[in-house]
Amino acid sequence: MLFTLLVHGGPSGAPSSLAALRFAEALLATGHSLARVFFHGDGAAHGNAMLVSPASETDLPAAWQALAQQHGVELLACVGSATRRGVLDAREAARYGLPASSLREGFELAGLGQLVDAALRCDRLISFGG
Amino acid sequence: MHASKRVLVICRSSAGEGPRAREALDIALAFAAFDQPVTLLFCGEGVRNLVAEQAGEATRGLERLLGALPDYGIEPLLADAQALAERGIREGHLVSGCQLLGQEAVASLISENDLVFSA
Repeated sequence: MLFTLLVHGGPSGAPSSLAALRFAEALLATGHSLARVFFHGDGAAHGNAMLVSPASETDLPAAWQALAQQHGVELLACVGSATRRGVLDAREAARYGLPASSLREGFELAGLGQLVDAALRCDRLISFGG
Repeated sequence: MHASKRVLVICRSSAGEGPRAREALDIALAFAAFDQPVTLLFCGEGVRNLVAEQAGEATRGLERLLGALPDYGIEPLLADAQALAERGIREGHLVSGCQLLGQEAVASLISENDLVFSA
């Protein structure tokens, strides 16, 4: 079955965000497919390259990066949610005259059209948080 | 082109609490822009967004957006009647184009849609 995941919760301590990661790992381990994870609202902060997770907590952005690299999963942060939370790629930073990109490697900024596209193509869309 | 999916977006936070209300409406607009049938339901604190003529930058911006929703085929705006009653908000306080739903109607709305978003 082809899944899309939608993560609304932030990367710093929202239980639903850890549940999203565990769910993704479980579905891939049981032979299902995951093409795209869309990070929306506070979830877009997963794409923040400057975020440091406490040593006692799961480093969710790094865990997503590793999972994406291993399984070819797209990690998309909603561009509207991301920019209002200080997560910008080089192009958005240049557009707003800001000094640097703050987007974590492995993540891309995307419009909500990409969420719509994924939602219409997949068999199941599962939301976490929100 | 993929088969159409019926989309329900549930807005559960007020504009005064932060960007979540606006972000819920953005999801609704995105699906409507791709010609998917969208229903928008306001529950919990989200019903405060339907009160007309509020002061405050965030709520004014949201009210303008609510006024534009019929242009995208999103109407009426559905409101959880119990959430309104709990907050002492009467139907006469609401922006035009609202329809109140009881608990059973809310439950069937959730079960009859293909995709349900909540923010």
